[in-house]
Amino acid sequence: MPDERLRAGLAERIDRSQRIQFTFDGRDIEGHPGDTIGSALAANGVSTLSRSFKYHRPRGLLCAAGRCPNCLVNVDGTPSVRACVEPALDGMAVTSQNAWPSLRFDLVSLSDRFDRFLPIGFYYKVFHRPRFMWPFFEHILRRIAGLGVLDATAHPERVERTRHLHADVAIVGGGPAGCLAALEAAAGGARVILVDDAPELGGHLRLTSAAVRGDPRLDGLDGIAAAARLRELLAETAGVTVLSEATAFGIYEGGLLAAAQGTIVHRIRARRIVLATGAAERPALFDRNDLPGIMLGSGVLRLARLFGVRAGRRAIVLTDGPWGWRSAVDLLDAGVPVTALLDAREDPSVGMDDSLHARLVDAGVEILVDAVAVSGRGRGRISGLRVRTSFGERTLPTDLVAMCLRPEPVTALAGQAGAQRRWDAALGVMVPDAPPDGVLFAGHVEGADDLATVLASGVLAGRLAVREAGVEGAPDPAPALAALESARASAGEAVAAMPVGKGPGGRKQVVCVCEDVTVKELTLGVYEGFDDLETMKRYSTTTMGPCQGKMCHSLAAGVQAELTGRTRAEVGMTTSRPPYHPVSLAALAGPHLDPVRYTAMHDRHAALDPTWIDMGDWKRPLHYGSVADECRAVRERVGLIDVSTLGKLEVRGADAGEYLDWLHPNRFSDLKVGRVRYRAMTDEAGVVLDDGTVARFEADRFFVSTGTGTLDAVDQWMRWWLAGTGRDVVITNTTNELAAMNLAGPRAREVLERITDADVSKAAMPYLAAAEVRVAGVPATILRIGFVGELGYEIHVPADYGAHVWDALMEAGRDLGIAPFGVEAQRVLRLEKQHLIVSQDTDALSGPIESGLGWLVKADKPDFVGRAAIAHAESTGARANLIGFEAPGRPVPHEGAGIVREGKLIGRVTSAKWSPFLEKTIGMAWMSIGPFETGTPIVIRHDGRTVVATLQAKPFYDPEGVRLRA
Amino acid sequence: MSTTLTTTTPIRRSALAGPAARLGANWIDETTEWAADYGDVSAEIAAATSACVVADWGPTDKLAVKGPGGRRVLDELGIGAPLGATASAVLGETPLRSWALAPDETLLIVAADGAAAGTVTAAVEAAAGTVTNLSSGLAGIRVVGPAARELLIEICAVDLAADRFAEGRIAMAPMGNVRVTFARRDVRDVPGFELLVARDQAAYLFEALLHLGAIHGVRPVGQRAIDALSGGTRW
Repeated sequence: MPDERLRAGLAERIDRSQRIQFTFDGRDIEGHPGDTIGSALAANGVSTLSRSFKYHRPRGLLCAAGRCPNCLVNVDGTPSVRACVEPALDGMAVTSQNAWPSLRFDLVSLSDRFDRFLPIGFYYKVFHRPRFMWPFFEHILRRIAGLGVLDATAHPERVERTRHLHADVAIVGGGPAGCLAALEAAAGGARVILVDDAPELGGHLRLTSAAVRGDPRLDGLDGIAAAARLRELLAETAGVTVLSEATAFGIYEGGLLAAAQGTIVHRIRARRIVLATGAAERPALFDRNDLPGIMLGSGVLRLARLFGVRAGRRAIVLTDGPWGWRSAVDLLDAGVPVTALLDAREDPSVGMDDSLHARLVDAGVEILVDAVAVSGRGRGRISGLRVRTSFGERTLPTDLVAMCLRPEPVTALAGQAGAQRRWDAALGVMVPDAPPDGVLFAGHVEGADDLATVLASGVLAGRLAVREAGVEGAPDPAPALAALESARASAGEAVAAMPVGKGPGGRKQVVCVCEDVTVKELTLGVYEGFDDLETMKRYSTTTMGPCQGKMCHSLAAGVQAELTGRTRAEVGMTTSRPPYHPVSLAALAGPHLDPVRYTAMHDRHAALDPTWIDMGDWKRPLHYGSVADECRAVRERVGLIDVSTLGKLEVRGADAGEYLDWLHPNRFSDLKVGRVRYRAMTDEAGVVLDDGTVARFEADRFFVSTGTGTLDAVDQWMRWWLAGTGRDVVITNTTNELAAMNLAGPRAREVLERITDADVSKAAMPYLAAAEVRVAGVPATILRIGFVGELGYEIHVPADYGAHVWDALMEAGRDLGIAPFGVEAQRVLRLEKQHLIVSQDTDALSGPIESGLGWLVKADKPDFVGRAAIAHAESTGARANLIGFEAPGRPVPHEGAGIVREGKLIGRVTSAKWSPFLEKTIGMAWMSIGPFETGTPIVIRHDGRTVVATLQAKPFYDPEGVRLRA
Repeated sequence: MSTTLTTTTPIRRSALAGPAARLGANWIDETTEWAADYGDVSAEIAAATSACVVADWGPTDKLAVKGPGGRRVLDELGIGAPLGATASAVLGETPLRSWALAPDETLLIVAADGAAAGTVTAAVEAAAGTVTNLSSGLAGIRVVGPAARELLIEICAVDLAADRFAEGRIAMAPMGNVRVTFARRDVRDVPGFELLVARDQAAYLFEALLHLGAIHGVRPVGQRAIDALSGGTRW
């Protein structure tokens, strides 16, 4: 078994004294605690980890930093895990994705051979003729598309969490600039949160042996030691919260910073945000540049330094500036054998550190200048690199290509925060322009690559941030500004990156590794007219994959510029939007917190194991086993239903009666004390909003009930119309204060008498009486009303006593045959009486007159909300009618079923039920064309059939209301 | 017609009685269904000082006092509070907590065993203010312990840090998608918060706190533990 481990190094994170083992596609892989899945695979010589999205080309580690899509694997049932950053654990079962039948022999890679049938935008061009074949092709394409497969049942134990954090200064990026900014801000008295996506702080310093210069705390140390020192200093500093392995994925409106850390999403609100997101390498463009074994230089270095893994034995370094020579030396220091260095520049002496040159020469590295890669050779893994120099072309044997092109500022979060990006010609990269309010930049992200400048900018950003955050006693930033200017001045001339452009040739110069978009396809896209980067992005899907442009944004912009003959400054960048890095939907949703509202009698219902129904957030019993039995109990004996969900408002004050007159088409100012009256409220357009009751207990005290779902709207409505009018009215929402239950049935009075000393006889409490008495020892409000059409009492008690009174009523009625009834029975019973339910039997256009509530409208009132609209509707005459219908048998038509006559739709059903008591189908419907007389036959369309019914304008049960008034 | 059903002492039941019963609560007495304990008071006290506990707080009477006259009367009775903050007071023999929610609205949370509610109502109405009884309409939950903030920041976006959210200060914010009015109320040195939530949503919030809090070692406790922690009385 190949073993690619290097000797132990100072920066490494693995524990060589222990071993772990996991499987990859069934093969045993050995590693050490501290390895990632990717590093362990690399140590075992596994170079292919996945197949690409469209062409199923073999892919291996590219960035080794969690930024590209090449290492997405399935771990213990979780798809699309980044192997290069996911810790390897003993016993893991890791499998590859997006390959069939296997990673090694993927038949779908035939699409790579037949790529001419899958050009850019192919789904607009092929596979849809002949038309009848499209469903077949679509089925196959859907099977092939996508990367991982989600098993929704895996990991039920996982709980996603949300945390709300606050700080004076939040810093994104735990490299040297970010760490120094954190130290300075905390020293200035700020509460600091530092977000870093690596397991430990230090950024790229952790990888390099170069000497650090530019800050007294770090001068003279090499990168690895400097990173360790920064970690020590931060650990000793109070006021800094470090979030490690946390990726800041978005800056949202108001400066909300979001970071994902495993299954936790942190929502961070800070007075100032410092973006120290650094700079990152990009791939080079040449034919077959996506072969396994071709990696970013930092990726190779990361594997070597942090995990002691040699990614290859004959590395070639590609570069375009002195940064690449530094990287080559770092690679040698880390133990990776480098055989050649290709510098694309004709004259590499600009900005050169001679000691680097000497090191490379001593190590026997072949140095080629004015040299570019032409194509990668090899099957499944790189075995040679064809290069072109001024002397011609040749193939260099290699098993590892380290692309060390100029790192480019990572500006995505800056863009999200509102910063523009501009082209810096001196550097050859896009840099952020002025930071928006509340944001500061620090370090490599600003474009500078000189370490002393980077350190000084971190210090300054920290000082400025704490000052701007308004922390008292923050030190003066002026000395830090001077230090930065001095560092910049001594930095020496900047070396510009070579322009990004097409490689020397070839069909597989991969621009977007996520979506398999090549230079050839972008060329075709420009030819087809997509010459703007934003439209090319959408047409080609470049930058729209898992990496969101981290690998390909500048490649795409550079190629676009070259193809359209424009400058990079003109082409610009596409808009940055969150998330910068993929976040699972479960993490964004957070823990499952769906409010549920329970009535005071909930446990009494639960004990009877009812079928529940959700009405908004409320849990209500739909029925307790038999709707027919419950209906029968109410009609023949006595039933009890929990109606606590109804809205209740106390309206008090000298102007309360007059105010209620204003809000309703009928009157309440003339309601006697001790009486209750039906209410239906209309809006300015004359549309019925809500109905319920109003009871009066004192001259200036009213008790208003509303519908369950309309309480909030009515409460707001009433307060809105009151505001600023100077009326003496106080409205209090007592919905939660009172539990309510409806005792209904011919024996209801007998039950109630047993638990109250009050006189509830017919004489003392007739239909529509209201009283405040004591029931079962508890203060109660009783309204004698009857939604279900029987002798009934609506009883309201303080909710703390709801269960007590419920129990007392059930106990008192036991020998009288009392039974609880649910929402479904109530609906049937009220329908037998043709009592409407607002927004079930009415809609957003229904006025009171056509809803059968015309008797409520008191035209002699001076004014009320909706008066003009109702008067207008009345004057225009013929309109729809809400009217009952019945049919002798089943089926029961659906709610919403259409009523037809001679092929035209003339109405629709609003409610329909089977009445067990009357043994027929009953319902209500809107009819827009008459006749509307009782007995008129109508035809209802139901499930493709027709149901013949007859109109019935009067209630189906007890039309005279005798039972109601018992 | 009078039977025992009209004369037996009514049983008063907390909004949290359902979940508390399922967790093994022992009630304060036969007619007061609030958790006195969950079977091990010393373990409950220990959890409050080492991790975090959630306690149902009651039974209490709650009076919403509205109108400018109302606020003046409360100040005269010595039971007002600074605007936006809470205060503890005693009226006669009855302890209470005063929550000054707005210039014209104060919520009084009164021990349920005294005549204070009646005294306050009479005095306020005489001064043309209004008093509305919300004793059943609001439920009180206390969250106490060193991990109290760690738990609450999972459901509350307000900055609760000890040096940013003063003792006694009131805030209103959604917690777990329900509206909560809450105040910081440390129990001697132990960090703590008092939460007021609509009665019908209280059981959901209580169970959400326990569910999310499991990872922080949160457990429910009864009145006896809170009394002991508070040095004799939870008021």
